[in-house]
Amino acid sequence: MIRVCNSISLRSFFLLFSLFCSIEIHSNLKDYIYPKSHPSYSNYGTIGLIQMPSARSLPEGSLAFSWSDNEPYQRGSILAYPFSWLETSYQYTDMENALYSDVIEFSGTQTYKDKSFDAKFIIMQESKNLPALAVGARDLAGSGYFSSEYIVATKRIKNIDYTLGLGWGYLGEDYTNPFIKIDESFRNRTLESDTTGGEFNPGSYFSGPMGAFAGIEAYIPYAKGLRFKLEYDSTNYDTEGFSDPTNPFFLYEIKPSSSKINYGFVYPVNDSLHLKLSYTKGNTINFGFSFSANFSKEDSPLEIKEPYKPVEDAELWKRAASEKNLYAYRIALDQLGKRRFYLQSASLNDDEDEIEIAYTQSKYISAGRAAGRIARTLDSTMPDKIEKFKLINLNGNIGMAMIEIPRAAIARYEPGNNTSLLKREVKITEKVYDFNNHKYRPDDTLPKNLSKITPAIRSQVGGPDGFYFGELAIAYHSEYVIKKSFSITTVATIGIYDTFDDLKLASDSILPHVRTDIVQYLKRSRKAHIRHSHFNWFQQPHKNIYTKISGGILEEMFSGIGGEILYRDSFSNFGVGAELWRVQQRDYRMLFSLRDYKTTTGHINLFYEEPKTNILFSIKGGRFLAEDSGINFDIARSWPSGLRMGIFFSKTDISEQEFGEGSFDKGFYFNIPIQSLLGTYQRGLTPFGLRPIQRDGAAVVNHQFRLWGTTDWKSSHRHFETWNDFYD
Amino acid sequence: MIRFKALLFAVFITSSCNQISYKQIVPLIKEATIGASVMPITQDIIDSKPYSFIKARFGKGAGVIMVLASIDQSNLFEWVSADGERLYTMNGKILRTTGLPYNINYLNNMSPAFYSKKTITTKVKLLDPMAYVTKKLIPIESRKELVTINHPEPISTTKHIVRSTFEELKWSKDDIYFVDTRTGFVIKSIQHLHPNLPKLEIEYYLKF
Repeated sequence: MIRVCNSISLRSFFLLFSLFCSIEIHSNLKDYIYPKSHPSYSNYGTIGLIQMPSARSLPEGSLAFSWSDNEPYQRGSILAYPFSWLETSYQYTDMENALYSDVIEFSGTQTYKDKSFDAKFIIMQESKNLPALAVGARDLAGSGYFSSEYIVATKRIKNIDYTLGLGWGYLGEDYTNPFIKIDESFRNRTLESDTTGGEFNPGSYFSGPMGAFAGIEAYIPYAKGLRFKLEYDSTNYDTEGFSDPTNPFFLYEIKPSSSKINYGFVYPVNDSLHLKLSYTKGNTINFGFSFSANFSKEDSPLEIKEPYKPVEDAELWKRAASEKNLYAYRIALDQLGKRRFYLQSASLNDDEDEIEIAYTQSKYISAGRAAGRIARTLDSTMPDKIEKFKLINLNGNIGMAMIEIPRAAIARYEPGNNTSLLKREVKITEKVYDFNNHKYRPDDTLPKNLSKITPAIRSQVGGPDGFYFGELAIAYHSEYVIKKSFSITTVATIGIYDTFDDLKLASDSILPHVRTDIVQYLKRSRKAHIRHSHFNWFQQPHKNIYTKISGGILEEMFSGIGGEILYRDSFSNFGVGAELWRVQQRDYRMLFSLRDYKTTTGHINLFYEEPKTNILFSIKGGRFLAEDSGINFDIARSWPSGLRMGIFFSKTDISEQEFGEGSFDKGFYFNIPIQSLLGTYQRGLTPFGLRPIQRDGAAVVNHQFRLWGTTDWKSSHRHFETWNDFYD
Repeated sequence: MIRFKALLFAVFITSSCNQISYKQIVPLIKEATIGASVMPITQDIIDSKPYSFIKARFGKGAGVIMVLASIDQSNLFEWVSADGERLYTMNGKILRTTGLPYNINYLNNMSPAFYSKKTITTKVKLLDPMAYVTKKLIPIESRKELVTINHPEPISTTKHIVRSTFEELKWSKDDIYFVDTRTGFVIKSIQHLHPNLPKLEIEYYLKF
């Protein structure tokens, strides 16, 4: 009996096992049969079908660029995914069927350039039985030439992604709007297409008649990820863009649509680069490409292979370090220096069982990884009597939080890589760093000049004259360190080649031209210019108070003197600060001479970092460069990899008319960690920021080394969010 | 290719950035466009290594030195790089890898023969992403052809070509083995391990 039971259970087991394996094999083979299958981009620039949107998105922390030639439009899009449920994009469209300006003489051969923001919210992720569902809007705050909203559902069945959606605005007008039953105001849509734009127009969203669209994205097996797309296009091309011949910008009539069926192909060259080719409206061939990558993880898109290198002959070093404290200090100095941690001072006494070190480093973004590598190096080389390591990171010679690590815990938790248990024994404290309190210091060789020469690129992206104007130059970078907390930083460049000749739009601002003379600055400074040259003096008068005073050529357009103060507690998510600057506008040649405009500007700065999502809310209130007063809001999400994505907007006491095109100051930015692009640990970030249009209102002094960023490692959260890297 | 993608993005991003130094960007561009310079194996390098080693080169990469870490009872050689990648070979044929971006593991039929007159069928586990596939090694050509390999000294070899296929994936590549006619050891091979990896070229420097 027992044998029979065993036999049955064994057979059942094998049956179940076989079934399980077959399912697993089948599902995993899909990744090879349909490789590189992340969602693809539409001609419009966002993720979707050919012209129509879909309910797909990319993982959070992704950035993308998409370009398409879709006659009469050439469209470039920059996309960011701060959350997996949110796609945001900035579109720059060259509309070839319209003039640049309503004054023909001024336009010349230039055609109209349109800028717009889009957003798509994934309100329900795809599940086994239900599709993904998204709500989105095109041309949210632009000139309104492509203004539309949609609700769309997408479901993958086998190798086909099915999409079905409803669109308002330019996405169709075939059906009566069902929202009329909720409110009569949805019956009519006011399409306000103008050339100043920049404002949100929520009253028109989801109003007017609507259209329905549908399509498929079919993944072709064994074709290296090639997809075929087919869609029913609900776009109303008769009224899209510049279709009215009486419009003074109108240049020529675009081809009328002869078919609502579009089809095309997408070929993924690799996981990031997609090529696309399609046939739309029954008469137009389109092509384009998209590029996307995820920077939220430290090892993406390039894998970083720089494991901790144990100290060679550690026992010999430890024996030598045990003889004299001076030897221990010198061994720590040497061994940490080899790992690119630069010891600035150390405290080690005969009657103490701990060593306290202050160090600088510019290699690791991860505070946990830096602490781990320093602690393991010290553990290998310091005398056995030392039971605790106290580590203070310095930035600008001001101390961040001090991390106290019990030595025994390092080895105890290393075998299981148990950083969470180690974290319980680690203590973070705050103190004012004063190197005079440390007995051991490297010989002072100050003053010292640190310099390098690099290629440099100066860019004007997304301006009204064209999408990109640039300059290639040679840059000289200098940091003249007079005292550890006092230095002069300079960047001066010599231009090699530029395309600034085609920039021509002069400022029409009625405010002081604090920013809108950018064309003058770019054109007149191209031979050689000083980007900035100023002193910085950092102080830490209290454990939680930091100050900075700077003076000289502060930035590209202003010279002056001023300072900043910040209160920041290691254990609080809040911070508060203030800054005050007396500045004078620089001459367009960007050398030493100045223009007449002088002003005093200053702000109260408030910060709050939400620790779960790592979203930093910054509010800046005060007087701006053009002597307007108001508030600037900045909301940014960051990841432990160093990636940061943010948006900002400002409202000051000037009217929309005074502000000019765009109505109010707004824009977005992202900082990409350099190590993601190079595959080796590096602390630097590559900043990229863009305003749809640069105006004079709400402009601030772009001074270097802002205290909130400089004191980033003051935050205990910053250390603990990367603590898993301790044994890496 | 991954590095090329990063370079493309870097060029785009540098619109407001000059933090990538000259020293870094030049090798990046060179590697992305024409491939890294191939590391030559000189007699000095051979003499300086106390143990057997291989030079492994993926696609256009520069190549890395991997040293022989162990030989088990079934003559499975374990080669380890400084970055911790591991290749397990049997008579020159790679049967398992770890630490690579994409890895493989032969599940059965660990035949010591790298070349057989019959087709060899075996199960292979592909990793990253994981999938079980059937691999067929089909003999294509085995010529008593004298080939000069890029060793410090010319060595006479026999060239064997084996077609390697993953049936479920409709994937097929030709692997090449060069066998030293005097010793019978594989001294160079070009193998295709994984659908997502470029070809792997290995030179073997055996010290026994």
